[in-house]
Amino acid sequence: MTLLLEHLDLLMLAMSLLMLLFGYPAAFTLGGVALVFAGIGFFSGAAPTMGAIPIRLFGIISNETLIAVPLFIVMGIVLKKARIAEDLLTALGWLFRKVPGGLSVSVTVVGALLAASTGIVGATVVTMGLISLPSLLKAGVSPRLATGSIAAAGTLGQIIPPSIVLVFLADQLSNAYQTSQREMGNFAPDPFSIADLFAAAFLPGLLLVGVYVIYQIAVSLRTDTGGRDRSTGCGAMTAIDVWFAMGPPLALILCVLGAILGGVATPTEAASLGVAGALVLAGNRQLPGRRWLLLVPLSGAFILVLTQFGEALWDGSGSVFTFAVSAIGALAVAGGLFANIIVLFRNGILQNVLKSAVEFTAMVFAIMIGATIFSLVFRDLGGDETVSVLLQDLPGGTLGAVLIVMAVMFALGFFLDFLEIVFVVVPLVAPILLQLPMPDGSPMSPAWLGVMMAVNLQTSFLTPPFGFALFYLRGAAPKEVATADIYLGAAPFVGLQLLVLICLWFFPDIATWLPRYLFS
Amino acid sequence: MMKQIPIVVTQVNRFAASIASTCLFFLFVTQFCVVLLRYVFDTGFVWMQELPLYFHGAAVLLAIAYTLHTGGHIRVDIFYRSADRKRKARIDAAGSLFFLLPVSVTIFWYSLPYVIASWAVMEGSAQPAGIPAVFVLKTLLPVFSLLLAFQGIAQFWRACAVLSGEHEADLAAPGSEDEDLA
Repeated sequence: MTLLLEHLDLLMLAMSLLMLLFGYPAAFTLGGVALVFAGIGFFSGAAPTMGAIPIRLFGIISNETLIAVPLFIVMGIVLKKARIAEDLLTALGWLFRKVPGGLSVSVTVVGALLAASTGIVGATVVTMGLISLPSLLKAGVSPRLATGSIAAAGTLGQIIPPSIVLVFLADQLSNAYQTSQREMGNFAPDPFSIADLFAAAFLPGLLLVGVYVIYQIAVSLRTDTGGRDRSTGCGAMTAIDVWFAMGPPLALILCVLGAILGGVATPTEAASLGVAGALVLAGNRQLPGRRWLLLVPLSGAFILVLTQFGEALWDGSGSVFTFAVSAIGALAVAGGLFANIIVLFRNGILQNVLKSAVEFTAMVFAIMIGATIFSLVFRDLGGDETVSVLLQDLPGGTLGAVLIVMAVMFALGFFLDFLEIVFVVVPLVAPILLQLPMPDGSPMSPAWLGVMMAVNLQTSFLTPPFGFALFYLRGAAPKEVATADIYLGAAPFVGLQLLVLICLWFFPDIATWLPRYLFS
Repeated sequence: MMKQIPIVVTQVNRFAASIASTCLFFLFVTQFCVVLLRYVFDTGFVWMQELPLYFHGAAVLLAIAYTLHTGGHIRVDIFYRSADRKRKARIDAAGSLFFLLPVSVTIFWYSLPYVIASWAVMEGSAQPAGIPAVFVLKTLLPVFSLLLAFQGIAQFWRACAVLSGEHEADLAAPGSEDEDLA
């Protein structure tokens, strides 16, 4: 009995995992189990400091960097409800029609591009499955390659910025980094920002897309579908249609990402621009006959960018002329945006988007609230020291500690979503891991650790038979597709993921070079 | 009469969620204006930069209770998804009673003195020209936990109704399950 009371923290961890399996919403299960153990702790002599709860919760809602999250959610849902993903898929299928396996390649690319709308693996895989699986099968792609591509593409969005899980991961890692540096005696560490993690995840994300595409082309070449692998619905498309379908969303996503990585705008600012762009695209798509809905705000934005460049180049800031031009540009942007919002409001799309977005936001932040209570109680029960002792006593130094953490996260990924793992596990292990040296001897970089965690979790979601993504794909796929095909289809992608993880281990520069190059 | 309670609670929360979604929209509008002013005209107002934070707080917190009703909170549904109605109702009843209610009551209990202290001094922004209403933002905490607690009671009530076979009230709102969130 006393042994149990001494290890209340570990008991709480095990108990909450068990309770989560019952299926009550994870946010409240985490918080509820923690409160039960806080009660037990109170009667057995520990002193849980519940008074910190309101301070921490207020910290969540008044954290300015997290404002980016609801904005990215709105942006993703606007793109989704406006059926931009379908358009993109058809257009890319046409563009890659000469490439072997072109349609599966376009699934990968769409999955990568629509990262912003990705928070939860299940929903993305279901959407991608419903949109693309029928056309893939109709085009003669083997069920294995088709389902594997969709499952992989659905999880890919998590690691490619600007995904909201990366925003949360960066937020948690930033706190952990401050703690670890303080403990190592560095009282003024460089802050670790969302932009740092976005930059770090960019190249590994591209690497993943690259190996997927190579694999898809190789398999299609080998099986040689004899030119049948091509979307049937896009025969009548012209090049102009394709560019009109593909150009604007592509430009939007690149602008948002470019603004963040280029250090021009904070993620929150870039996200609000992303929402504006998505609203314009969606409104314009509702009334395709009226191109001015797209052209007016677009040209306004163009004028604004030009005047800003002009001011920077010729140092003409403050002149009446540039002010007047800027004012005209701003009016065009605001007016065009307003017109598109009116269009979306009349069609009821705006209300629909906001309803979905607010529920999604509520779900995400509820998990954060539940997990915050969980971590508070866990720390008060001595969990931090337990985990720290466990990790530091491992044989094999950094390799052992990182491997164990990765293995635990991998296993947790079978039944927890990315967000729960980020909120519960990262604050526990990251402050300790970040004090260890990297494989090449330099101090561990939070950017590298974050990317390793993200790719690792993504692999876990893909791994048969428990992977989340496969589970949801089974639900969305027609009955003709055998479950065995889904499992066998995902297996090669798991192999590719592991390959990238190994590359990251031996060449940490893949993750750490870009943030270093951009921000220091 | 008593049967009306879950319906009334859900109506109140539906209203709160509509406030939240309006706030979400204004979060975007104000943030966009801040960006436009800052990058194009190189000006900005502290109060205007703080405005998105207030909309953010409301958008994040006020819809949590209603999302419980629509079934939008994610579950670990390895076993839950294949369970039958009665088993689902049992899990929901127990979860509402033992997990959700303690959580919301705890948040309410501990945030109340925190908020009262803030009201007592009419706590304002840390910035000189900021919005002098941080106490309003803090008030969202007890409001949200109260809404959540009542919705938890309503969910418990409904689950019990399913268990006793009284009437075939569904746990989730109709139409919310097939509408996949992004």
